[in-house]
Amino acid sequence: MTHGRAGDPSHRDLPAHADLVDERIVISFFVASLCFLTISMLAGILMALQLVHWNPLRGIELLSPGRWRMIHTNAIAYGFLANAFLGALHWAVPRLTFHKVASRALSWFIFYAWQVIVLATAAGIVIGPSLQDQPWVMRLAKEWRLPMGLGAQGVEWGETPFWIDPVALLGLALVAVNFMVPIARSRGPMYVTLWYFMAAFVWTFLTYAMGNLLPEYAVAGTSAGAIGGLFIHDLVGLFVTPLGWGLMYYFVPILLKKPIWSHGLSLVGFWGLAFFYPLQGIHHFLYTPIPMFLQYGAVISTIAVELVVATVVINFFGTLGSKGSEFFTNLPIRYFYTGMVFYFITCFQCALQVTLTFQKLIHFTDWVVGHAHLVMFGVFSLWLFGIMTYLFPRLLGRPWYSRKLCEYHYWLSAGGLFVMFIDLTLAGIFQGWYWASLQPWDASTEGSQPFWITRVFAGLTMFAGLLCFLYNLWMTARAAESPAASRAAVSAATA
Amino acid sequence: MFESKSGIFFIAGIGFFLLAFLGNGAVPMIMYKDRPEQTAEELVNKRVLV
Repeated sequence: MTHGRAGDPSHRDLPAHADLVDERIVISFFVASLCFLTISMLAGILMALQLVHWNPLRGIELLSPGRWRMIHTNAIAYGFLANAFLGALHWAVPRLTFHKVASRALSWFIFYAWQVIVLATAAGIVIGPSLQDQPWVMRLAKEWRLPMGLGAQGVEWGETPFWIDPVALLGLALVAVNFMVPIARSRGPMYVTLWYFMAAFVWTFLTYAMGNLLPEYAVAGTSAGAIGGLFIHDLVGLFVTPLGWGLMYYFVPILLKKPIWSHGLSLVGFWGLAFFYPLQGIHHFLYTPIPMFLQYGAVISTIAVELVVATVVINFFGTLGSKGSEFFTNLPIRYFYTGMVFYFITCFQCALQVTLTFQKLIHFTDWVVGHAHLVMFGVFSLWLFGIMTYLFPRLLGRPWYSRKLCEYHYWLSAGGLFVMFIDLTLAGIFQGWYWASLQPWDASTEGSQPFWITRVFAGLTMFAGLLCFLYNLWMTARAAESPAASRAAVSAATA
Repeated sequence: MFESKSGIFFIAGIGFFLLAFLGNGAVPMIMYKDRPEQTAEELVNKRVLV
């Protein structure tokens, strides 16, 4: 967390920031992540338009809604979140460990390989289903005994075509090696952030391997359902969550210029999450033939995680403490703490909705979609926006082109998301009661229209926020560099 | 142990993941391994199809 500052005896032996961090790779990962976020949000808007009977791409097979929906979820997870996390990791890990990543060449290889993986996944999702019944594909599948076609696989968030899975796994292994080496080289006690990062590198690889190999090659039916549940929940809990919280433990003390409030609560938070989070997967498949004792276990561990999350959130609000005004004046801090409030809400919601009573009402409804948007956009995307808002001026060496556009980005993103969350949560309750009252299916879709129309406008609001950010970034990058003035202006612009 | 590299790598990273996999993934796999795979038509209540 320190620059090597000449003349300061306490920092004289520390490596300089420029020797530790390759800023070009951080920028590259961030830019790639924003490209995929744009694609993903456009795909989400197209799906929203489809639900209100206004699909502008009607009749185009390759751009059918089912394919766009998978592009939407895949581009968010593997395109936006993964790229943005990798960018932030290239900044945080070397500065925390005082060691460079294992290899900068490897970092660039990972960067290009990962973009190819995400784009190939999109191509597989879009083109694959159209090739499915081609004679040469069927012959290949038969001769090579392939358990699936060239297109998307039938595992939620594991739609990645089977021929990409080994490459993606190799990529994840290389990412782990590239960051584990500096962590292994570091001496002395490890900071909380590195606990989360270390565990995340192991968990992400294992989770991806489990979800993308077992249901396709080894197990079927109910057992595959249990694995699928573990996979989708572990992707959130063991890939996105530890990286997100690890980054919060890194950036919040830096921005507030004070240490984390309680080391003990940090320990409780990490180990509680590590133990309880992996045990929850089956709560996605309540009321299925999966043994009931396993379903009850998943319910209990989900409620336990909410208690753990409460300790983490208390720790961060304790850290904010007397600096509460920073929430209003410091934009990255506002992003971070808004995300934390949303995280507490989403986990509280989770603790309720995994009960069997609640599931009866909301399963398969838009409640779940609202919950997913709250956690993916309301928490992790906001955190990453905060990190980018803080880092881009430092990476580009100049202040933001417009502080007002940064504010618009925050309010449009957080406001649009909040409206969408409330809207879809209500929609889910309505849909659940429509179905429970045994009315025809059409009655529930007609009754959902007001909610789905609201969702379109909420999505457009969030997208407008992104456009503000992209325009601001473009104008900032184009601005003439003025190194002398930039450093002071940078801290003023993001403070 | 709670803050060491080996503790986090082996216990939290690998250990807890395997524990969850054994409990939530391997148990149903073992319990149902002798059940024959069936098509949807074979599985569904016949009276529903009539």
